[in-house]
Amino acid sequence: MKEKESAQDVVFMMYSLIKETTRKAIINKRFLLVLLVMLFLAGVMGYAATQEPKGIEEGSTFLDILVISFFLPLITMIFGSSFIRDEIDDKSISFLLISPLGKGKIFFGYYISLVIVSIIAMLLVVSSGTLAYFSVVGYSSGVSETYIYYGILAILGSIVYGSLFIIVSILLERSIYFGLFYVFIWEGFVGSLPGRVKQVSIRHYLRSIGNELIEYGSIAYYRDASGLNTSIITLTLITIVLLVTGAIIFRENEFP
Amino acid sequence: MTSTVLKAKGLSKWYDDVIGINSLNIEIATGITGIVGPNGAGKSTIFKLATGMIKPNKGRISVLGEDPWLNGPLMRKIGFCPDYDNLSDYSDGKRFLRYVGSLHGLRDKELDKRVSKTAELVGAEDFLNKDIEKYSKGMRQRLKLAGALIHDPDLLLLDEPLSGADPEARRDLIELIKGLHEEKGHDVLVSSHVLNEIERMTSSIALIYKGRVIASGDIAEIRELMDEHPQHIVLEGKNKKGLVKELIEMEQVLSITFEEGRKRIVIEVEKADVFFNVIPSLIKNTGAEIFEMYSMDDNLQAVFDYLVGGKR
Amino acid sequence: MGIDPIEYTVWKDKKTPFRKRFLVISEKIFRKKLRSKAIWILLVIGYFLVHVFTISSAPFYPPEELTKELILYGEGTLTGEPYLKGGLFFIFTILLVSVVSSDIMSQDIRENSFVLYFSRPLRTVDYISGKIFGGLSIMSLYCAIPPILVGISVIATQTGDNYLGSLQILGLTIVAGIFTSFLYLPYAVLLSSLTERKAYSGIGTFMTFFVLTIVSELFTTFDPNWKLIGPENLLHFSYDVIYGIGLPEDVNLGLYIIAMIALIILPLMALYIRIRRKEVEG
Repeated sequence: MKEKESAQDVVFMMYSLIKETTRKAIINKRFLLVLLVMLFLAGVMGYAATQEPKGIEEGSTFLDILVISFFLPLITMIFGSSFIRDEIDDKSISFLLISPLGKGKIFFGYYISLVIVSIIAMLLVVSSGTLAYFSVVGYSSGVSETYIYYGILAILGSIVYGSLFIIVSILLERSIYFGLFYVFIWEGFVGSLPGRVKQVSIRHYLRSIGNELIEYGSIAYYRDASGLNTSIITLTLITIVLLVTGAIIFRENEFP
Repeated sequence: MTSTVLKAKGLSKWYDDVIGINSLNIEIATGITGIVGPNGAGKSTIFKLATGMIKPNKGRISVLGEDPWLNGPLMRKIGFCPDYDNLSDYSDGKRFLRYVGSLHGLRDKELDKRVSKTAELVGAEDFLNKDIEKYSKGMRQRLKLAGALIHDPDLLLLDEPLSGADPEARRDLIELIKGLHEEKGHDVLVSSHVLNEIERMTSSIALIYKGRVIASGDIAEIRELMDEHPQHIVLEGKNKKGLVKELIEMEQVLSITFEEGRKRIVIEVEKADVFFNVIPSLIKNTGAEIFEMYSMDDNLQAVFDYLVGGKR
Repeated sequence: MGIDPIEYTVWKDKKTPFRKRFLVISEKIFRKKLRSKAIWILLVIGYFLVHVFTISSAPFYPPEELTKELILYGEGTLTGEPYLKGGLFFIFTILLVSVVSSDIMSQDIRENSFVLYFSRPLRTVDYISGKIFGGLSIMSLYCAIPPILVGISVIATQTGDNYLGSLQILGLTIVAGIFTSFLYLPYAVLLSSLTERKAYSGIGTFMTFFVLTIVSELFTTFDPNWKLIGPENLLHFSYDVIYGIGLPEDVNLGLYIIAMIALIILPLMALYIRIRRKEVEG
C-alpha cells in the first residue's frame, strides 16, 4: 500500500530541495557570469551617462534593449539549460529520485530554484545598470518608478523564460543551442517582422506590459504592444502550459 | 512484513539496441543477498528498475510488494547506494547527509541524531566535516552508504559498494554490510563482480549473466555444482616429488602439469571437495613445502563459463 | 622471459608531406562536423531563412546582370531584403562559428590530445592552420557557397549582356564569401583553446559578438566610430572594401585597420602563444 506523505512533510522536503539547489547554483562558477554582466552593464551605462543625449528616456532605452531584450532571456537560459541537465549528467539527481518526493514535485522544486536564482541575478543586473547610469545623470522624478517597473519585468521574465528553458533542458541534451536559437533568432527575427507574427514571442508580451507601466524610453513607444490584461493572461497561460507539460515529461523520463 | 523483498517476473529492459535485462525471473528473500555477475551483466539495471529510475520494457518488478515506478512513498523504505560517484563537490559530508536526510522528511533534532548515528555506523565521523572533494574513494563509498542509511530504510540496495576502495576499506565495508543485517536488521541486496567478496558477506547469491539469472540460491550449492566439474588447482613450493607421486595415485586427479621449471604444478581434479579434504595430510606426510595453493577456476568467469556450458 | 621489446616498425609507406599535414587535421574536422546534428540544423534553418529565396529568385525574377547591390542589399531580387548585409546572415554566421569552433580545441584540452598531436612531426602553425582551415571549410558551406550559387543563378538567367561585369562581381563574391567564413574564426578558436568546456567556448564566442554588436549600435549615437566595435559593421565595411565601394565617410580608416587587427591578428597571436605554452606544459 502506498502511504501518502503529509502536506507538511512535502513542504519541508520541497524547501530542502529548493534551498540546496539554489545554494549550489549561487556558489557555482556560473554565477560569476552575473557579476561580469553587472560590471559590463555598469560600464556601458556609466559611459552612456557621460555622453549626450542623456536622461531618463535614454536610460530607460538602455535598460529595455540591454536588460529586457538581451540579458534577461540570456541569463535565464544559461541557468535554465543547466539546472536539471547538470544534475542528470553528473547523476546527482539520483538522491532526489530515490526520495519520497515524487518526480512531479522534484520538477517544480527545480523550477522554483531556477526562478529564485534568475530573479536574484536579474535584480542585481537591473540595479547595477540603473545605479551606474542615474548616479552620473542625476536622479529625477520617475527614476525610482522606472527602476521598480524594470525590476517587475525582470521578475516576470524570470518566471516565464524559466518555464521555457527548464522544459528544454529536460528534452534536449544540448539545450543551450536551442536557447541561443530561441533568444537570438526566434525572438530577434520574429520580433522584427511586421504585423501580428511578433506576438509569438515572450519578449513581445513582456515589453507590452512594460509599455503599460513605463513612461520613458523605447519601451514606452512600443507601437505593436498588446493590452496589459492580454499580456498578463498570455504569459500566465504560457507558463502554466509549459510547467504542466514539463512536469509530465519529467515524470515519464527515465534516468539510466 | 513480507518475506520476499524483491520479485521480478519476465523482466526485460533494453536501451536502444543494447539489452540490459532479458526475461529475468528472480525472487529475493529477506537477509543479505548478493547479486554477482561480470561487468555489463545487468546488475545495475536491476537496481535502477528497483528504485524506479527506469521502467521495464516487459515484465514486472516489485520491491517490498510494490511497483517502484512512480512510487515516491516506497522510497522511504529503500536506501540506495549507486555504483557511480554522484556526490556533490560543493559540500562537506555533514551537509550532504543533512540534505539527503531532509529529502526523506527528517528535520531538527531527529535529523541531527540520524546524521551522527549514521556517520558513526559507517565510520565517517572523523571526516564528516571535511569538503567532499578532499575525500578518498573509500571515504566517498562510506558517505554514499551513509546517504542510503540516513532514513533507516527496511531494504538497502547497494550497487558495487566496494568498487574502487582499497583492500583495508573493502574489509571494513564487508564487515559493515554484514553488520547492517545482523545487528541493525536491514535487508540488503548487494552487487559485486567479485565472487569471494560477496561470499564474505552472505551465502545467498544470484548469479547474473547477460541479463539473466543463471543460478541462485546458497553459495554452497553453487560450489557443489562447480565441484562436479573438473578444476585446475595450482600448487607452488619445494620438495614436491613425494607429493606428486601420491597425487598421481589419487582417483580424483586427472592430470598433472609442471610449469616454470617444476616450481609450479597444475593439477586437474574432479570432485575438488574430496581433493581439498585430503591434500593437507598428503602435504604433511610427504614433507612437501607448499607456499601457495589456489584454484585457477575459483573465479567468477570460470563459474559463468561452467554454468552457461562454456557458451559465451 | 625478459622484457618484451616495444613493438615498433618504421612506417615505410608514403608520408604526407610537411606542408600538407595541416590538411589532415582540417579534413578530420570537416568530416566530424558534417556528422554533427547541431551543424546540420543550423545549416538547414540558415539556408531556408537566408539563402533559399535569394538563390531561387533569379529564374522567376531575372535581373539584368549580377551587381554588388544585388549581392549586398538584395536589390532586384524577389524579396528585396538585404542579402550579405542582412541581419540574419550575420546572426547565423556568428551562431555557426560558435558551434563550429566550440570544441575545435577545447576537446583537445579536455582529452589532453595536444600531447598526441605534438608527439608527431607537426608544427604549431600546422596545428593552428589545420584547425582554422577545418572550421573555414564548414563555415564556407554557409558563408561562401550560397552567395556563389546566387551569383551563378543570376548570371545564368540574366537579361543583359554584361557577362564580364557579372563575372567580376562573382569573383569578388567568392573573395567576400571566403573572407566571411574566416573573419570570426580566429577569435572563436582562441576562446575554444582557453577552456575545456565546449559550451563555454560556444556561448562565449556568440555572446562576445552579439554584445559588441548591440553596444556598437547603442553607442553610435554618441560617436560614429563606435560602429567599429561591432563585428557586423566590420563585416559590412569589409564588403565595401572588397566590392570597391570604399569605407563610409564617417568611419576612420585607421580605426578600421586597428579593429580588424584586433579581430584577426591579435587572436591569432594569442592562439599561437597559447598553443606553444600548451606544447611545453604537455
